[in-house]
Amino acid sequence: MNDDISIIWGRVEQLFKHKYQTMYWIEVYNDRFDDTYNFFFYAKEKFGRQRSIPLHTVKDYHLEHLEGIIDELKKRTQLTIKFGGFDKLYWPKSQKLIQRKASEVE
Amino acid sequence: MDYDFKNEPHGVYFLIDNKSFYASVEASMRGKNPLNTCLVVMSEQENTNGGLILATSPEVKRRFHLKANVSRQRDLPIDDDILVVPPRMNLYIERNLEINNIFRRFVADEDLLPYSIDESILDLTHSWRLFGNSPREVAEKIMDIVHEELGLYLTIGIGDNPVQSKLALDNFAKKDPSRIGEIHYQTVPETIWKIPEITDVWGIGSRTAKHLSRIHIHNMDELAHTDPFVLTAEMGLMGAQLFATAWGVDRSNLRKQHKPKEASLGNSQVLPRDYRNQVEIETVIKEIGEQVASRLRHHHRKAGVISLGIGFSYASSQDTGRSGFHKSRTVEPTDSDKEIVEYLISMFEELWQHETIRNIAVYTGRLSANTGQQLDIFKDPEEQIKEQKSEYILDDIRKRFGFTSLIYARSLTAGGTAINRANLVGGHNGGNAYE
Repeated sequence: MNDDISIIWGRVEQLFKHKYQTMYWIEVYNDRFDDTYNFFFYAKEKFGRQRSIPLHTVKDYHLEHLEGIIDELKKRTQLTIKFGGFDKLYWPKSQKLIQRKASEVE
Repeated sequence: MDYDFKNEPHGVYFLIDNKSFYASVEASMRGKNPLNTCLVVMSEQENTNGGLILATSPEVKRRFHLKANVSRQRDLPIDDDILVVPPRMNLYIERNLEINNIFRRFVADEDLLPYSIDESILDLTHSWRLFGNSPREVAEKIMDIVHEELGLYLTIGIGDNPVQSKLALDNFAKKDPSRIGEIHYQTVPETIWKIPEITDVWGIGSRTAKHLSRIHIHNMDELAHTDPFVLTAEMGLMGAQLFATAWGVDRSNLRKQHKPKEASLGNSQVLPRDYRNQVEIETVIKEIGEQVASRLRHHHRKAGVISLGIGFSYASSQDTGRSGFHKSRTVEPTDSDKEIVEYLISMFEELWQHETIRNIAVYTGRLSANTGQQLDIFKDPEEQIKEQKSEYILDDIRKRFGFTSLIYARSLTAGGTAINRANLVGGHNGGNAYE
């Protein structure tokens, strides 16, 4: 897990440029085709294009593992984290619903 | 005029294309539907002049009326709905292999020919009956499996031979909601002959179209009804080839793979800006030369011909009236960094007259198997062996730890591009290009 979080965090730090009038957020997609969790960094300037840059693909396909990564990320950043592909799934530790809307990433 | 198809090969061929492949892979990785997401894959390398569009999803093409090949970011509107993503070439190669592995469930290895990164030709003549009641049913099955397992959408052209399947794919499947197109010998008149634009036909570009129009051929119907001897007299072998295409005739055999008479190996690059300074230009020539030498060693080959191609910048070619120069030299077979770079630099210095340049290509030909080191009688043998060993060690270290683990200090100077390009595949983001 440490590897995953350090890769993701290293890239977030590089990409999060704190620019004026720019929205930043992270998206995590539950990729059932590859059995991976795909992390992406999003940035959208007010009059610019929306960009999505791959952060990392987590290959350890267990929700416990992902929950650990997300908890750690939330300690380090206040960026919004959106989830997709986790319909009706609950976090194993906190027992909270992972994504509230049918799809947060659309 | 009638054509007797009786003796032509009759088979069942599929030409399968991945719909907007790069864009679809990126969409599926993000949990978005490849068909209705506005997604653009854009390479923003230093030498792309702001951004080069590699792929657009079908929805972007539809909503913003973009042609398939919009290539510059300035042609792309700024819109909140468009999502721009960087390319990941290695991921696409990996996906292509996965897709071809799915195809292997339907055909034997020798009946599958990957044609490009997103197209494959399948000869299902011997196996389609195992999977359905008609070729179309089998095509639907392949589409469903790929969608189920990888989330991607395919487009399939079906024909009695490879060229029919290619035309069915390009001219019919891509426009049909079922994403399947079919051409057979008996449907040639209502399919191939009815293709509205002659340049939409595979193998006919604008120059060929112009040539054809000079002999009063403006569509496939007219082409099919022209005397093949007239076509051959006018256009040579290509004339006969075009005539065959117009009748949907193709006698190629997938199992007999075409082997080029002479293999060659090389690399080229567009420079990120105009280069004027000799030292800078020679730094890049040296880097490309070393990359080519390293690839020769990787393939256990030695080159008997070294070529250098230089393209001038737009302004320079306007001034000089030349677009660049090209020179080849026959040499003692070699795979050595030092020798290859020496040849290249001497060819460059011989021909360069201080033009500004934008393009460098290094190619090697007349490749022979590397059966051992040929020592030069005029040089110290110990020294020669040591030199070769050090190059192999360099390759080994780079193979294990990546290209940038060990680079020449010269690559850190102003003109060097090697470090920046080390992770590119085909000039775009993603992977090790030194193999």
